[in-house]
Amino acid sequence: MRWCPMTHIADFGGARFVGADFSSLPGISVFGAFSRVVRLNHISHKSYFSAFGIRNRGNDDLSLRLTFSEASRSKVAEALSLKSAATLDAALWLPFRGGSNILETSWAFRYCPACLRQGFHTLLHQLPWVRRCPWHRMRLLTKCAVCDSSLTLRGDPGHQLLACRNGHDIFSEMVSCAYPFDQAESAAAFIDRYLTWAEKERAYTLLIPPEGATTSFDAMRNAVVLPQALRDSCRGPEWILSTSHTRTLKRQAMRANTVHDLPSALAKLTSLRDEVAGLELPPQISPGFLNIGCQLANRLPPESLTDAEMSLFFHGLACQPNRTFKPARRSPLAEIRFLPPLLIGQTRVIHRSTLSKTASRSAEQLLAVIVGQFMPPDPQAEASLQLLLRALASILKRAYAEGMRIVLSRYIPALFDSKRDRPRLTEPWILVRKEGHQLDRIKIVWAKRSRLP
Amino acid sequence: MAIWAPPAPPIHPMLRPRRPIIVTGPINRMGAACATALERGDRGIPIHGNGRDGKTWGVECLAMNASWQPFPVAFFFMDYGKPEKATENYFSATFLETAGMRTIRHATGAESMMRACNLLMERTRDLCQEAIAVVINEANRFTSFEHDHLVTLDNLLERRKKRAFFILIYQNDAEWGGQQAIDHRPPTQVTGRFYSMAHQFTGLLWGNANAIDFQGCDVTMAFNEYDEGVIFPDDETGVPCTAYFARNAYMNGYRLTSQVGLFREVVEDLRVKNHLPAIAPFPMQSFERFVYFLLVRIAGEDPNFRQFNREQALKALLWAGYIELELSKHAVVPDDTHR
Ligand SMILES: [Zn+2]
Ligand SMILES: [Zn+2]
Repeated sequence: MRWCPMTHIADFGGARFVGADFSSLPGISVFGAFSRVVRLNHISHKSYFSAFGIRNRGNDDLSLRLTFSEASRSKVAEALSLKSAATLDAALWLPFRGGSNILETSWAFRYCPACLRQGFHTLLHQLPWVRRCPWHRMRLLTKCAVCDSSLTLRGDPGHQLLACRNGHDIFSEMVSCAYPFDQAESAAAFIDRYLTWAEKERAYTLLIPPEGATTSFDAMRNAVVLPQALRDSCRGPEWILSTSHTRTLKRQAMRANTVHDLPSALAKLTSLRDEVAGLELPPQISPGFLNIGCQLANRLPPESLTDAEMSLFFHGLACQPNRTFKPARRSPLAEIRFLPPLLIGQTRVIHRSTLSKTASRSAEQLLAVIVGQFMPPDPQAEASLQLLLRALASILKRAYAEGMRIVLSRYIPALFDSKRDRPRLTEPWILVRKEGHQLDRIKIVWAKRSRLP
Repeated sequence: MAIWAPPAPPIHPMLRPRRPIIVTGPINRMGAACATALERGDRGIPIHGNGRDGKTWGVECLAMNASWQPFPVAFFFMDYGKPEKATENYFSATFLETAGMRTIRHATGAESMMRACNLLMERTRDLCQEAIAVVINEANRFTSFEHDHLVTLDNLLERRKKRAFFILIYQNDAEWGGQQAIDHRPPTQVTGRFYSMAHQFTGLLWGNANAIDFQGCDVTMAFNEYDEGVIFPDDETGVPCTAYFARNAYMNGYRLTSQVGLFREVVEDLRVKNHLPAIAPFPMQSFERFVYFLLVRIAGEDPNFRQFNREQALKALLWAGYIELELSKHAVVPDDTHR
């Protein structure tokens, strides 16, 4: 015999829904918490308002809405007492500043089957540069693993949330409430390390996304490289084909006894900002543009250009048109005459309309963000400016090559059949990394536009 | 502005707003009955008893002490109201509400039942209890519909490899009797499932006249708990309850158990004066109040206290509301022939 303390016996820990104790579900996403609670509490779409204070709008992808709509997210967070910053703020998962909506641009709900079965989803699984669930080592999916159809992500009378359209249920009610999350500790540890790394990166790295971006997922997958310690557990299969092309430029020591005159070169490029018809190319970078022009002219099928047009591409240059060149028998076209960099006095000028718009806008933004921060003659600052100029040249050359192909393809339909010179548009994703006060690296990921702007 | 309060010295359990329960003979007997039913594989046990005998306290004790349990059992409590319609919806909503769950409008009965089942699964997760005791107060309000709901919940849990054990508490002296009792009697298939053995919960028994031994007399055992069992403030430096409030007398050998004979006489006298049978179990609620008054209000306020006299015992008994409670029982069922 003994006394019993008068404690309340079944203390339910304050949670007002089944499955709403998120303490062992580290970094759960708002949608993850929402869908878990909806399923474990059998809340039908008609009761979303009563339970969470949000209205179910027919066609909403709730995973998207609860990540990016401030109003809906905060309602659900309040109803479920979600307080963790990693849950509420998607920007904390990005290892760069700028482009906070890149996850939104090409959103597709992405999940680890082992996690979601237990009612767990985290924004880590949405990150393009994470290909596997780090603690289950399972490949992340966007479709049903059984039949490859889409999952139900909206309140739908005919379908269970998180089940596929054919009824395969990714979520297990039994497992989610009867067992603790199997990887709580390793998930917490990984997420903690990841977020710490991302926070540190954000201090150094800035993303300049293309204006009117059409594809971010593939581009961002290539843009971000995780440090070794994080990368190994979430590396994906290497055979995934990428449609984007990455170029990384690093700061290099300046060679002595050369005249660089970088400030005036960059000053010329600031005219990108203005609505002028011609862009004067700084002498340091103009050879590259001339090269692009004459090489493309030489690759064109016979009878594409007139004699006069061809000679413009080679005007003032040491090289010559191919001996196999066969001129077209038509009168010269003004539009083609504007393509080669024109020699005006001592300088080369390209016509603005030749540059693809998205890319030249990106170059302009890069310039605006960086220029003025580094003041020569400090040799360190000079190296930074040199890197900036190289990056701008790289972007503009591609903008020029793409713009030129598009113009030419209007008159030379055969270009559409050429593997190399087919007209196409890509958009640059630029990651600028500073180290201390200097520019350290500029990474440019060219992603194929999925649609025209 | 911050409000600063000096750290409060610990308060003796007897002086707190909610005084603790002592485990007594009736509770031990109920624990034994539940253990037998669980061991045998029953899905429930009906507990009958009078109001204020301490059934609810008793079950709370059983929930807090694992020593009687043949295997780990999780406990849930539910107070059942008086629905106009005994729907699945009302039943599950009551269950969820008792557990502090947010009410969801438009939820169907089936949805809420599944939610309740998931709740039980989740709350028994960490300690891996396979047996889940659901304690239902006021089970005397149940109709055959509620029994069906128990069957539903039982089936849902069984499919999830859990075992339900319904502890159904019936109030003898409330809303029970006459024609209604027949209507409320559960259908046979339910009886088989939940009611194979009923337990009668009583107040503290006096045992044989003059028997002041610990085994035969619940009241003596209970007094002994105050004499020996409650140590305050802690095991190292503390003293039992009686010693705390009657320090000198205790040091001279005084124990409450030594006066059981006197207390019994006072109780019997009072009962006879009120035309009640002389012997009846001591309801837990009035017993606990009785001891409180004796120890705290009489012994505790008198530095020269040596032992209680007849007047003091009577005063304490009246203060505890003993006689009102006993009279009220007999008023409700004046002629108790059908049971
Ligand atoms: Zn996983
Ligand atoms: Zn499927």
